[in-house]
Amino acid sequence: MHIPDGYLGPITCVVMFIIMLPVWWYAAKWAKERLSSRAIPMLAMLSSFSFVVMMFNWPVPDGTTAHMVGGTLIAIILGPWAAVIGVSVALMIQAFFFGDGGITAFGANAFNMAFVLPFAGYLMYRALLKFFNSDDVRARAIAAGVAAYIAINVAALAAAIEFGVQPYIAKGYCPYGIEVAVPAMLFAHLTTAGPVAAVVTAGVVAYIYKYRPDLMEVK
Amino acid sequence: MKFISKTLAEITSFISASIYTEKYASLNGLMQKIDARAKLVIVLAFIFLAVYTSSIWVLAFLFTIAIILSISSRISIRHYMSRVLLFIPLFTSIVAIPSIFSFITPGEGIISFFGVSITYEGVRAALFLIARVTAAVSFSILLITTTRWNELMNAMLFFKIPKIFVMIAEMSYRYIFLLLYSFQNMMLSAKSRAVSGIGATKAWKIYAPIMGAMFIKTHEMHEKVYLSMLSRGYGVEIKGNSRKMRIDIGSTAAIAAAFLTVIAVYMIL
Amino acid sequence: MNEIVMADNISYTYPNGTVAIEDISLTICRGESVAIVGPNGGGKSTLLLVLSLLLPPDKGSITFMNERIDRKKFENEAYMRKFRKRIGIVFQEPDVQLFSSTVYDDIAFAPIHFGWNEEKIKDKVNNVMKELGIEHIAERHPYELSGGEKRLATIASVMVYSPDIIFLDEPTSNLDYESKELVIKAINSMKEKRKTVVVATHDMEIIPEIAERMIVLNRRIIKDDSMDNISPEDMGAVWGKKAIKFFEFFMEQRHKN
Ligand SMILES: Nc1ncnc2c1ncn2[C@@H]1O[C@H](COP(=O)(O)OP(=O)(O)OP(=O)(O)O)[C@@H](O)[C@H]1O
Ligand SMILES: [Mg+2]
Repeated sequence: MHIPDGYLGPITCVVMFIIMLPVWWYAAKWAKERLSSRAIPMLAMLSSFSFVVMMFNWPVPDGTTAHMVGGTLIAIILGPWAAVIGVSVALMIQAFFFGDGGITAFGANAFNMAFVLPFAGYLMYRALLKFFNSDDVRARAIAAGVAAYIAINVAALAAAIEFGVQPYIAKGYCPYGIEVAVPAMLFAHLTTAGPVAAVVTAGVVAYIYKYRPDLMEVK
Repeated sequence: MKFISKTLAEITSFISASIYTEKYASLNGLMQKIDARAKLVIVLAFIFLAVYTSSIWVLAFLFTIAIILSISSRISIRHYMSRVLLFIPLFTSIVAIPSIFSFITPGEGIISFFGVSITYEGVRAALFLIARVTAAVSFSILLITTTRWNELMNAMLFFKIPKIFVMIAEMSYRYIFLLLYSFQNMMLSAKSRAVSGIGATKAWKIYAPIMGAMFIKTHEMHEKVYLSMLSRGYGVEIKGNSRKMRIDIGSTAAIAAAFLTVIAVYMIL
Repeated sequence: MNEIVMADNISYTYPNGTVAIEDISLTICRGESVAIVGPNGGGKSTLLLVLSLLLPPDKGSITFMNERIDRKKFENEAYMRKFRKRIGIVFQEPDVQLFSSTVYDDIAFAPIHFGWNEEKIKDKVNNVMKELGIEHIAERHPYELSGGEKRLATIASVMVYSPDIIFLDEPTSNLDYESKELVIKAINSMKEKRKTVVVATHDMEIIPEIAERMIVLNRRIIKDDSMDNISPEDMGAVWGKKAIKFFEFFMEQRHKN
């Protein structure tokens, strides 16, 4: 899902950064006030977990790449604002070290994967638990899997829209219009990255909830 | 699963090779002499130009500058080229393939078969995209190979990136190795337990708990890493190799030179 | 007063409910050298983490250099930092302590974070590497090292800032005889500098060489006495009959020296 430098026109890049600034600012404020110091190594680990799973990506012709993100997992364990920090950091390390995800597209990438994705996943997870009216291990695992599946597709859709509008607003950048980009990205994430995200997220959430419930900062 | 364990080994060695290149950061080359904060500004200026320009010549020129800078920073050209070209431009090329056809980019056909044709405009657009990505990546790789991680982190703090982000970045960067190695061990232990030819549900029953256990084990290890960092004076503020806050004359000159180049290139081409 | 760290009735329970240590009271004085022994899972590592002010006890209290460290102080990392440079701890698993991209950087980690100047850092790091005989691995990546090299690197990463009290968790596991000698020499050189040394170990042969006092720990303190008063039977109670003979032999060596 990483948008490289050169896919988005300058205006889109700037707009996405401007949207993300208050989000990052609030996440930092939230962490300062609410994140316990015990959770810091956990967040760092989840961030490197996100980094590693994002390295397993494959190119999507007509789009960018497909992979899982781990944003829903972080949101379920530590809360969505922690996920904003964790995934943004993973994206930043990737942008610098591997040029994976452009530096100018960092705002957009963070918007999709570090903001839209964890919040979509978290809200979905909460809604499902409410719907199941239960929070035993089984319910949590299913809710986490479904939430991760939906969230990654919402994020992929957001990414596809961002570069899909480029042919109409900025010539010489992404060549694929929305009518091509959206189906390509959604197909890849619905069939491959989505199921991977669902299975991994459900498995890890179930295991942690069963054996180390104390690690779940969000009860 | 074989696919995963193979890629995992590859990714692990790829990442360790990349991060291991801090050895270039301590050489006595041109880019290494420049203050990390100045370098960040310079590199960003070039990347912005790469993203903003609509001339292929500017991109070629930028790529040349990046190569010259890497040579004068004593980075082995083979190493540099493989880091720049192997991953992102390759992926971008695959991603860009459909755009050479007439159904994405209509225009003057070069060859056609089964009613679709490869168009001149399409090939041009695809090459341009790849060139742009390559030019941009060549600068981020230049930055990271010539800068120590903790200096880059200090530069981030200097530019008012919130401490919590920098702190998590600092730690998560160090954890990547540990995590990859426990992933690898997990795959090994799964391999030694799993019988071949098992079905998907059975595989899931074996792999899911292993993954969960690995997750918790890795976390417990990370808690100790954090304690070991605390015990050695780690705090929210990150100290680099105690560089001064003032930017030296050389780095100021470098920023000036970079901006003049960017402006000149933009005006001329 | 002469005490450096005092524990008063402390207990530590892990989040999963395991009670690792219980009702521990002990006093360690400046310049003492203490060996902590006990079976696997006996709580040695946990006790070291609590005494080095990294884990807050959930019962009882710790007094460090005459200052009572209550829960509130424990949670204030900025406040705790003034103790950090006085305490050193070498973890049982070297991997948790080595995470930079070169051994040199790992050894320089503490000095950098304690804010020393560049000259001094270089000087001290090089000295300690020389002392432990690991100069040749300075630029290597920690992950490529052998178990013994890792061990020595972690010891160096703590010795470099010469803390007043140093806790070592199984410092000789994984070491061949030559490296073991180096570690013993390093411990003894710290003792000569009037540093306090606390070593958790299963390695009976090094105990007589480095420790004057022994604490036998199995969740609670079973025995805490000067080496001269530890009988082979005490050891037998911990490790079984085989240990008695073994320990007798090493005590003989000690008395010979
Ligand atoms: N992070 C942890 N979470 C939960 N329980 C733990 C943790 N670390 C240790 N324990 C448990 O606490 C008890 C004491 O462990 P500790 O590591 O302190 O023993 P030890 O004496 O150092 O053992 P060894 O000789 O094997 O190193 C054991 O029962 C262990 O299983
Ligand atoms: Mg232990």
